[in-house]
Amino acid sequence: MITQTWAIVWDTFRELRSRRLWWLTLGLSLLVVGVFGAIGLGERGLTFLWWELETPFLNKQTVGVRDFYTNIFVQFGVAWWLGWLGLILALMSTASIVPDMVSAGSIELVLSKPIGRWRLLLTKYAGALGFVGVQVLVFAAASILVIGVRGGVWLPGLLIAVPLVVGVFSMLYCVCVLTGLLTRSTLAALVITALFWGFVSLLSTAYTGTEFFREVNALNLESQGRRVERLRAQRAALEESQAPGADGDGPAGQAQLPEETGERWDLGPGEAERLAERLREAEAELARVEENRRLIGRVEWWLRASITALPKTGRAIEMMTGWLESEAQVAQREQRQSEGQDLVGAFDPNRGRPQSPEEEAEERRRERVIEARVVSARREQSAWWVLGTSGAFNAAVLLVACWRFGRRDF
Amino acid sequence: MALINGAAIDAVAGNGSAGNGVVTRSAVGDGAAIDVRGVEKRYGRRVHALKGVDLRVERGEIFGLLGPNGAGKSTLVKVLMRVIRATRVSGHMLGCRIGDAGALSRVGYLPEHHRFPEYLNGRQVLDYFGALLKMPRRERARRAVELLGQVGLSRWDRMLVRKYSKGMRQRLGIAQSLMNDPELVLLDEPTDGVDPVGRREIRSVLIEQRRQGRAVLVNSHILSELEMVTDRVAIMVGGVVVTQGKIEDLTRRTRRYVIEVEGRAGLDLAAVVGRAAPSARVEGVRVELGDVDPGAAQPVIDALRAAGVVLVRVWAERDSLEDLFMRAVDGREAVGASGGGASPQEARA
Repeated sequence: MITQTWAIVWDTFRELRSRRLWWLTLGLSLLVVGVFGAIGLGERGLTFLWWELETPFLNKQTVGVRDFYTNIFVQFGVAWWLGWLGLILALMSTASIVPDMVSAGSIELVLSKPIGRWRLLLTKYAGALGFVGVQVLVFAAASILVIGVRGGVWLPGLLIAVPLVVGVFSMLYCVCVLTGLLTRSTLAALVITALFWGFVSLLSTAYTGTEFFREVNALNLESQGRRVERLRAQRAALEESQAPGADGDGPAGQAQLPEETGERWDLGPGEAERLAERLREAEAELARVEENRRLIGRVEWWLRASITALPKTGRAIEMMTGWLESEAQVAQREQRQSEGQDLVGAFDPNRGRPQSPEEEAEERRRERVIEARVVSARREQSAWWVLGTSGAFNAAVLLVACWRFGRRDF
Repeated sequence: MALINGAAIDAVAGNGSAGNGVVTRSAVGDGAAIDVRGVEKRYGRRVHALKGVDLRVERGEIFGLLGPNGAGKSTLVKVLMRVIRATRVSGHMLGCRIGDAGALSRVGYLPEHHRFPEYLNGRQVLDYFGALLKMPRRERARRAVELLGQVGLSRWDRMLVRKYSKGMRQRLGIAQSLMNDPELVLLDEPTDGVDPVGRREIRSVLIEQRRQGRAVLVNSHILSELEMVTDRVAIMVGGVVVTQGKIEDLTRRTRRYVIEVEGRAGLDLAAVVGRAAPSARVEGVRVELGDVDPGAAQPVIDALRAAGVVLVRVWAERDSLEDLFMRAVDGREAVGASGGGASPQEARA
């Protein structure tokens, strides 16, 4: 059994090693690491090889060397290279493994040997994951070495990227394996996997958008509720002041408003009607926001159900970067995002209207509240939910692939 | 004998669990290499690739499986090798039930149009497939050297397979099928693309396998080659075996004496021959006697000589395998043409 398993895994390695993409990916990985090595942090600013760029906001006095390199590794090495370009190259390298194996003339040779079909397919799958693992290991090890030599800090914790990237890759590769098995075409397997990845990303983005909508709406609901309450209180106060025998302490025709409003309201002719009209408008608006809440809730439920059933590559990469960064760095980044990102404002109906400084400050406070709520909601989606449901999807797709492979005639 | 063996196999295999393979094998060790009955393969409702094939291949014989394209030969072999799942099959291969992985480590198989991994060299190919057969590393290395020498590829053992010619790939395929020193070898078109020298070498390899007591099933279109080496043949048409047996037995009833005479003006050969042997057939200067008994030819010879006819040649002949094949195909094509032997791909299409 070990002889067979090792033979299949080793054959998968030899197959991948014989391709130019393997060497291209490895070369690009080392190039990325080389760029890490070339970038440094000087006393006055950023350094690139022997040049130093004066950056008052980014130098050894403002940022720790350890945080600087971890940040570069996470934001560029993991989020961009490993989590995006590297994954694409890995998929391109490994997409042909199953279609080649099941091609006419090849599959007969393998299936006629005393090895179970499930084991054959799963071993090939594991071999491909091993290939990606080796690539990421080379990248992470080289990064640790270069950062250690160049920056004087040793970050062995970066090796956690190996299982995490392999895990993310496996979520997509199982789709590639299934489609490769069904179509026997490398191109079809790649295209369908890419479309699937795009679809999953789109759903994830839509879900993120829904989370923002939900929080914006929740804030609107709160403020609209408060407005309705205030108007109702005003109406009650007015009715009380106009009631026969009312003991108003102000001038005639003037009502004392509730303390929290801090305002006085001069009652002119027809003001009572205008107040009633404003209350009706506010109640209608509250009903609309309430209806929106229900609609968003339904959309959110469907999207959440969908992404629960599907792999969460984006969330997994976000989580991975979160684990690699220190808590302080995460807090800093979230702060920067909340300051720089105007996603909430994009959905604001008052956007573009001239605002007073007070209104702008209020708006900024509101955005920060929404950001904080969304971030908090995301954190509630535990690693177990992200990895567990993605792993379940992975297992289900592999199960279908194995079942199909086990029953198919070649 | 076949029934006794078959009953013994069924009894043991029926009682034995999957983990009891050793008992099954030892109990039927002297039986046929392949003994299958009623093999059926359907693709959906319309395509009926195998329509109840019965086949028996003995140990120590070379068995030829013949048939036109689409007859179901490759499908049958793939069913035996677990590449295709039969709709219905009963019987055994090397004492194990069909589909049992236990038999596969004792079988060698060369599929038609096989494709080896092109990134491997000849030696690595043999090592890889030897490992899939669970052979130990040292044994694989030893066997690879030995077999590459046998098929004449020793000089190119380190060359990548993608640089091999078709004939070299075929030789490597033969070596691959013998890697585990199998008790049964199934070869699908083994001489496809091989030059005459290579074909002769492959024939020698097959004969050597038979000499060592192994069973060899060869699936081929090249009838003249099969005729040279096979002990028995089966002819498949339209998903059924239409005839099966020793070539000699199958052609026995076609044996005849032929007398060739010198042509002469005014000679009524039919009249001369007809008096001595009314059933004789005359075609030009040839007289064919349907009887295989040399004694029966004597009165005809006497009559011819009495009439002053000069005899040129007298010889005994029988139908060739090709004649047998063509007769079988012509006789069955009309009834057996409904989808027999379609590959899974063709069936899906």
